[in-house]
Amino acid sequence: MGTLKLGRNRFAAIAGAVALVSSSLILQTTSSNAASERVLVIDSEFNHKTLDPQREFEDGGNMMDRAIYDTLLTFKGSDASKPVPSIALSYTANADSTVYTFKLRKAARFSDGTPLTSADVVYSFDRLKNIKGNPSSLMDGLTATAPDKYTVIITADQPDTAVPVKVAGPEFGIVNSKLVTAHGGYALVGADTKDKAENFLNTTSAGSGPYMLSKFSLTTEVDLVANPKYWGKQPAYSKIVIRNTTQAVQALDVQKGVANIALDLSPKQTDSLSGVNVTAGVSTTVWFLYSNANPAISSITSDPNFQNAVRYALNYSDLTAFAGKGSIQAAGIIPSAFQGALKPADATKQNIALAKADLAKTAYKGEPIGLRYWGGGAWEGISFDDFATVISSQLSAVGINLKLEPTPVGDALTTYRNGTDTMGLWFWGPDWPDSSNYSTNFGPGEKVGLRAGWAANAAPEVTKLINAVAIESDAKKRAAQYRQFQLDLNANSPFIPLIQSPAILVSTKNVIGIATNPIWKVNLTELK
Amino acid sequence: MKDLLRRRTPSENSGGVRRNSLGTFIVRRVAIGILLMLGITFISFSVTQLVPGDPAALNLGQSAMSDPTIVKAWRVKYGLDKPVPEQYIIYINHLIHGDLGLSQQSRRPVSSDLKEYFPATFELASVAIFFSLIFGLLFGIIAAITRNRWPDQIIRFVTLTGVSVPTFWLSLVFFYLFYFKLSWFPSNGRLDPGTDAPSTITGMYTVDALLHGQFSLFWQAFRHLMLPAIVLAIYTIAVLTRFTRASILEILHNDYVRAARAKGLPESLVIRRHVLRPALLSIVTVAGVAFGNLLAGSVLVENVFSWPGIGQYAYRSSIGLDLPGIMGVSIVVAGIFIIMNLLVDIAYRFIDPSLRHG
Repeated sequence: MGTLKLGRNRFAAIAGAVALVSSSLILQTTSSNAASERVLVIDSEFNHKTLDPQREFEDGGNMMDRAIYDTLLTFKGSDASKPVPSIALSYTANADSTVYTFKLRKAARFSDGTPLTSADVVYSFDRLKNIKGNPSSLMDGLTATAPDKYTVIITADQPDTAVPVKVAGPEFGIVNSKLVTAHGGYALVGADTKDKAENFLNTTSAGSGPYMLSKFSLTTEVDLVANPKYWGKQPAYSKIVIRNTTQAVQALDVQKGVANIALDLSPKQTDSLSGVNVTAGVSTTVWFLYSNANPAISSITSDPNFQNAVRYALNYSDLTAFAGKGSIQAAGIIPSAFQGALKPADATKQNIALAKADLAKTAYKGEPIGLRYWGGGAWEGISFDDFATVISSQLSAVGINLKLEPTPVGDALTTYRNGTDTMGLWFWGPDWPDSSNYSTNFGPGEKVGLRAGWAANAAPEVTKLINAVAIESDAKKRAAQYRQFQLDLNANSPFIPLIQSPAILVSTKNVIGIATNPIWKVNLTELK
Repeated sequence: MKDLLRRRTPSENSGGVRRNSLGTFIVRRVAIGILLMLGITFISFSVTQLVPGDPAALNLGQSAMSDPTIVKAWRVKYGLDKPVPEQYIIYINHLIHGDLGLSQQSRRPVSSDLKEYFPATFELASVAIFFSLIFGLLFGIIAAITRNRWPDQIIRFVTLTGVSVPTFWLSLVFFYLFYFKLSWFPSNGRLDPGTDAPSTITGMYTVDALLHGQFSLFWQAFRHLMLPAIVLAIYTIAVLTRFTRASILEILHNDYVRAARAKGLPESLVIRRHVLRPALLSIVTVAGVAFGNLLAGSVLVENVFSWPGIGQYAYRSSIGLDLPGIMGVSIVVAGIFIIMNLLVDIAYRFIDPSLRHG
């Protein structure tokens, strides 16, 4: 047994050695940042697929490209409705909003020192159009030309009042045309196959913005460093590190000060945080229900009385409470920040008696009605599954029996876009920050209208209104038309606007100037 | 005596080699492996085609999906405009030439993606299996030789807990405790925020940092590696402990062990020579499979710790219906298991000479 004792000692020795090694590895976290650098660390759940400005179309990419690439116009703070000068010092529009003339800033330089001229703007816009990428449709009907070195003219095939807000989007980021061309870029017709510059733009900056790209990844970290040749005022932080982290980790990092900003926390998650600033705003994402208006899909959901029964059965206060701090009821399909948005007083109110009366006018006998949504999905802290359950519970109070149909996102998008679902729960985030994005999508015969089975001839008055607002150049008249468009939708359409999501930013106390923005979440160049 | 110890190897169980030379054995197994990989590509390709949903719908935005020219350009770019059988033939043809296709998520060649992500997972899994082997064998031996006494009871409780606790939950708890509360480990990721990775040689930051003589960077990478590796190792430690214990106990009851003890051999010699060595045959099999599992199944841990490995890549590919990405991961995972089985069989030959000499 003496040898067995020796064996035990050996085991103990090995265990002790391993424990010693393990414990020696456990150290306090340290910062590797040089004292001279002002580094800002942002935790985010990555959703960008590229940083090529003419290909990216996700809010994560918007935030990064906003810092790297200048646009003709831009937005300040949270206001995404009023474009302000950036590379363009001023612009004018003709009476029918078909010709826009932009006068460029002569001092602007790309990060390699090359002067930014109208040729670069035209190149970037042509590339956006011809690359046939995700955001290419933003250039539909638009043509950019350069009559001189510092003038750009955008001509629209049809009146387009949204041009100033469209060109403020990061997709219209101006690239250094010579540099991009030298690395495989191509902007003319055929760019969908000939352009090979995406990988280059994912590794190197070709912009004139306050930051330059220094590290790129889709899964770990994107680093931006201040552009020493920036034509404007130098940004407050010399380096910005954006890291891919889960929500749970973001909550810990920002409290511990390892991250300065957490971008993706839900209102509920912020309740338990301490020692941080919580900036709660309202997002431009509008969640809506639709009840398919196509009788071939469902004779029940296409009945306007059924649609109104759903509309009045919902308890909107409970829905906003469910979505959390910052959320508001969507008074109409156009979010509150945009021109012509409805006022809270215009919003639909719950009226159970009316809902029951409308339901009684239909042939509905309590059979299950399918409600399709993105199963397992979540957006801006709101879970589709949970939201659908709340809605189902509310509708059951008036006798509407929903059959919840959570579906993988790929399949759910396919049936939604094919217009074959009886009812659907979805959200809409604007492609460009203007009410025209809603009138051109949610009308009868329009893209989302057709998904909800709303045929082109289903509501001639609404169609007439959409056509009128498209060519109206007077801002006040346009706002009135957008309001009427939404009131019409609230009165008689397959769409039931529900809520606007909350927009939450959590930051450490030392970050100043933080504001939520519906296009790029937060403007990195405004932070101090 | 040897016949009593003799176990059938996986290859023998499947009617494989018996008395071949090592070279012939490896060549045959590699050939079989290639055929297996081909079969796996066919199954993976067929299954991905059966998954409902349109990859274009997931990769293009609302407006782009409404523009037929954009949708067509996207399908042409990724070869999805062709009939499915033709897509498969093209895929295999490209695969033979080392081309795994273009990822729809990253828009880069899948081979480049895998080259970037696999070393991160390999580094993590290697440390995890290292911990697992040390602690799994140690605890298993202790549990066996102290059967039903308090050390065995404690180890049983700990290992059963390790097997039962969901890895995702454990990751969050460990992260909260050891990073947030105790500050013993750094935050997630492979390096501190803003730190440049060492120039790539192997893609494993600890190794590359050492090869470049960047010792502070090595230390930083090593600290980041520890917590996810420990979390990942816990389940495997528990499994190996239980398996080692069971194997040793089974062998301890054999007549030849009793005979060895009766001869008056020291207990440590009995354990080392007559118990541990035969037990290793089964343990190596489990460890090999466990290493394969660690390489292929670290999705949850990689997500919590933002570890950019093939687990994260597989997850992103799956939710984005990125067919080339999914195929690439399937091939890598299949390759891992084929290689691990081959290595286990080779290890058998060294552990048990009877397999070499018949």
